[in-house]
Amino acid sequence: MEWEAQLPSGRWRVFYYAKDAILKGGINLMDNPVSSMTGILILAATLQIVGASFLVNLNLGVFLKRWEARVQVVAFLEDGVDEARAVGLAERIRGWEGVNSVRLVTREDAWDAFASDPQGRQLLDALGENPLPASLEVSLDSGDRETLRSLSSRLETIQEVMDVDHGEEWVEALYNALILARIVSIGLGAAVMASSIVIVAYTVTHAARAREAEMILLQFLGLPIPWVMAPLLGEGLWLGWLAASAACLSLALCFVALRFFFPMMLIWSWTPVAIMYLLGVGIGLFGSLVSARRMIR
Amino acid sequence: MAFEGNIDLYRVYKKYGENQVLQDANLKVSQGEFVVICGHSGSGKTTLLKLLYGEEKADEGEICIEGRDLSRLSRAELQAVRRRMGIVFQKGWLLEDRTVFENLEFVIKAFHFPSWQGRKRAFQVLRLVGMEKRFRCKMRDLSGGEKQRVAVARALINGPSIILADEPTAHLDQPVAVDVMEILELVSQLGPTILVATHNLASVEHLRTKRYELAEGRLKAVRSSHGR
Repeated sequence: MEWEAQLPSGRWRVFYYAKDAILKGGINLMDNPVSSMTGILILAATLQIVGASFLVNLNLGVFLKRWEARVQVVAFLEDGVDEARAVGLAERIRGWEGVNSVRLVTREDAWDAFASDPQGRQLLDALGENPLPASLEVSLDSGDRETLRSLSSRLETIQEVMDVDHGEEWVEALYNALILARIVSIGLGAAVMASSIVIVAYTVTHAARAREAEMILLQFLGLPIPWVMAPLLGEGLWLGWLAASAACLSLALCFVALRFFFPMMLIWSWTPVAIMYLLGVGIGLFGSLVSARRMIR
Repeated sequence: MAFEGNIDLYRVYKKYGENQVLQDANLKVSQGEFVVICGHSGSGKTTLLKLLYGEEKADEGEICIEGRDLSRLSRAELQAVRRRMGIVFQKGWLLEDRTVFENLEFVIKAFHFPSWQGRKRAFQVLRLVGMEKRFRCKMRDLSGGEKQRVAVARALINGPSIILADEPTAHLDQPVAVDVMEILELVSQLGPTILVATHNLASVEHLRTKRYELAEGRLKAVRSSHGR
């Protein structure tokens, strides 16, 4: 009467379970097309939000770096400062820490630059005498806020300097925007990720309910629990992988479309793609694990 | 195996909230015995069977299946014990959208039995329960009695040393219920230990079984008309 079960054993058992998980998981997913598709689309939307916010952050960061590289502090000189003193002053400032270069813009240079614009020319003609001050355009090694602030303060203490324009408001606004974007994207990402875990768990549970009898039987036939859970885990894996693929494709299409309008401004990175796949597969597996554990008795 | 087919319960207690379902329950079943546990609905028969196949754990006491104390087993060891059992569930857990044969094939495939041997085996057990001519029928097209026969066939297919049947005659007419019990008696003659929980005493009246009554959480031996 007795018949020993011939279950896979030894070190290859893991590969057997993996093969079974992938095959049966895929079949199970196709057995419930509506709930599977709903789960995939919701998870894909979630992943796309995460990926897009990562890409936006990356681009904002790069934009800020580029902007910082071009940041300049302009020190306007008092009217009485002659060219020799201005050159000496430029030499002195060039030696300061954090200063990359200093360019002297004489009153004549400023006039010529302003006059190159027809409207500016008209204005200057109306004024008659050159009202523009000489200035020193100071380029920095790094345009971060601290360097900018300290250099501006130091320039303001120079007697020959009338006024300093460092555009700090812009930097401040840009930094704040970047921080806000990061907070929003992290918050949004966390919220949608939490909800997507629940949705994936629900989707897989719904699918598992359809096969409840099979799962109960397999358990009470005495099959190893990993083997019983394998198809459900495989289903979650497929769901996550397909959702990540859909999200990556959609994100790439959006990026290509945007790049068509702003060719030089946008940067692509494979990091969000890797993150989306890791998250997708991770959420899929976690969701299916949660639902599978509920079915194990 | 020295303890093959043996079931031992020693001073088992089980409580759900305030409801003491089992209280100092003791039972000793030897290999090949056919034991019937009687009791009204809610008396704890299903709980007792769940304890035996490890779905539930006892609060106190010892439950040994083939000499192995279930409370000391790891999950993998429990699964190994379950592989030596055949279970007929109260809910059936039959795959309704599949045929009779596919229901048995599901077990054959799960156990990785060679396919031609598996098919031969499936027809042997179907013949034993009198369902060999209906192997192509979908489960949903079968009567209650036929479904129970398939459930018994499925419990037999892996050649278990112990068969646990929870209310196998629930919702069946008396003649059909008697049929199912007779099939179980026939199976018991092939060697496995059989433990049936039922509230339908009439269906086992004429059988040579060892009987226990489960009432107020306690198991009491009942002398059957056949003196066993």
